[in-house]
Amino acid sequence: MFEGLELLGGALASFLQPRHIAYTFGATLLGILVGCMPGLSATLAISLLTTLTIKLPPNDAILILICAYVGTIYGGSRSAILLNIPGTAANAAACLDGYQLARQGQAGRAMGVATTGSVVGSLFGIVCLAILTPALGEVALTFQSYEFFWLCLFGVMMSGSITGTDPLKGWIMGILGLFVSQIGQDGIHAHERFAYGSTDLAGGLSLIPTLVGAFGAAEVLTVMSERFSRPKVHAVDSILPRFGDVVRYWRTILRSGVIGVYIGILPGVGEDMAAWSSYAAAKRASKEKEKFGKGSVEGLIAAETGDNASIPGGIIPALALAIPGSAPAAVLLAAMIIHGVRPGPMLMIENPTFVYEVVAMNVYATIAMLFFGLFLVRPLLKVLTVPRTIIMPCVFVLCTVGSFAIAQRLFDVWTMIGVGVAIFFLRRFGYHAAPFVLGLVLGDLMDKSLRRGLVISDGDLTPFFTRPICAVLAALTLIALLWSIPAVADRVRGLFRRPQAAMPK
Amino acid sequence: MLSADRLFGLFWTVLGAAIVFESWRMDRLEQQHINPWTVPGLVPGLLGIVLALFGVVLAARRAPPSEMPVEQDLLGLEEPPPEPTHGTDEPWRIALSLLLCLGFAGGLVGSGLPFWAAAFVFLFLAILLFEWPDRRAAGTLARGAAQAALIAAVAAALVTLVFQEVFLVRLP
Repeated sequence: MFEGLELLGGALASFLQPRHIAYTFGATLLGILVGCMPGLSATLAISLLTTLTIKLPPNDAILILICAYVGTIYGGSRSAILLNIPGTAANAAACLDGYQLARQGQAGRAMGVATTGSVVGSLFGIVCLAILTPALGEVALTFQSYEFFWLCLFGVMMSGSITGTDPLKGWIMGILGLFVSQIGQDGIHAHERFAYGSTDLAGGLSLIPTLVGAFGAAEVLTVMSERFSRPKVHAVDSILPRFGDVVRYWRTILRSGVIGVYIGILPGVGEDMAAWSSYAAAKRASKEKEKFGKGSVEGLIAAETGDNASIPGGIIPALALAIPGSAPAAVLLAAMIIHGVRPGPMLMIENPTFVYEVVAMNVYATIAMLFFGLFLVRPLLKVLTVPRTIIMPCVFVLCTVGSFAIAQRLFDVWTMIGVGVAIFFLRRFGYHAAPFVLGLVLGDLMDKSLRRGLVISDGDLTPFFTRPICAVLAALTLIALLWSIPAVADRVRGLFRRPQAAMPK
Repeated sequence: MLSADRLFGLFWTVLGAAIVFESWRMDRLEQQHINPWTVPGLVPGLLGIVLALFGVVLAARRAPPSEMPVEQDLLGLEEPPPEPTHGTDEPWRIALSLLLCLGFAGGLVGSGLPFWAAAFVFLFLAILLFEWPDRRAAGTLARGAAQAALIAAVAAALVTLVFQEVFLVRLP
């Protein structure tokens, strides 16, 4: 306990150098700007910045990435409130009440509420990050290949289940991501798979260019293919958060924080589900249900607390298990590996200070977010009026340079554009990129875990189903699969609805 | 969407089958006396089987489970929740986007042209052509072209300088 506090104190102090302060504020500001622009996601911001920061010391680079992550999710609430267009998918829930508040002439208050919710949610998540990561890491020390195999599969299947309208398409994308990660040398014997004599393919499809393609090039192509009119930004009143809102809705804030962290920890489930779940829970528990969707401060605060709490929540399994909680956390995990950090159960033994450094990075990102939320609202709104016809081509140039920057291979640029075009077309038919990304990041671990598990058990599949955690994860994966079959889902829903219908009024 | 699903289902089935076939053909490294449970083709082969199975289900099912996003279901909303991109697609914009992006990343970059020049050409054309209908309607084509050239020049120079001089990245 005290050792943890000591490590946290040391980590907080280590980031007080002018260079770190500049990185913190610069990256958070950049994140907010990216988040403000609809179509540009946190995953893209982290992927691109990973390529930019490749030559920086690991702690500096990861500080920048975490600040950009926090800033992007927060920044997305701006366009949600002022334009009714969520800056990132995580802010869609904020549109429902944020935009209604803006229409009622309370855009500033809505942004103040969003800032309050984001900061409190983020701080709650950070406390959980500091407490739960070492605890989960200790539990994970008992995990063997069997558990890791199921965690990977569960994460990919969960991500597929909750993305879009059709779980089957989500799973197909997850399996596709897992397969793409198998291209190149295998992790046990370094044998070339699906390379067909190509030296480029033998090295595998690099993770970052593939992610930049899936979340950058595909987004750019999508936005450039659509016709947009110039947005009309609502007038902004006082943006100062009201202390009364925090006091009045403390239960909602606490509940949303818990939901956000919980959803964040679940492998493959992202900030958007955290926001929606928090919003739905707040609506169910509220005494003012009728105000939801019509400008409810409680609804907005629930959504923004939930999505920001899920950021540190998503980092918890990434650090303790090397299993990311969301797509942006997956990129963050990849960036950590690129910078020589080895997340996973051994992290608390090999590099215990790193966990607390990540906690400190989140604390400083939250402080920067609060600063920009209080003092730089009006200038930041200017970015909303910049035409997308100018922004998107510039982003594509960055995607190209970023893909090339990691290994100076033209093949990576082709990977980026190839994946981007493929995802662009697949999205039009209901296939989403998030499960693909999870599959891509977890594929190597799943491959090695399955084969190692089979070696340990000498080909016996029983341990994959009989060890307690494996049994739970296998059951959950099976339930997710069965739930997508309409007949099964309808029958289960019917079981729960019938008794209610029979109740006298 | 259903007929598209059938076609995609067929595609995933064929792809899955091809992956299984290639995984089966893959060297099992018997001469290295490796543990047979660690053959390199094991996991890709299993993934191929699952992909093919999902493809068959997609092609064979009568209707998608629901057109309702998970969030809408969760909250009981009457309309689907807003999305970050929700403009109207225009076929010429799709074609132009693909042409420009593929031309830049797949053609101009690495062709021997300096990066700053390739970026300038791409940015200038993209900004000019996508704003063309609005500019023409407003009668400001010449001003639009000048503005596009200025933005493209500044952005290309900035990206080149920042990446090369600040981040020490070699450009394509």
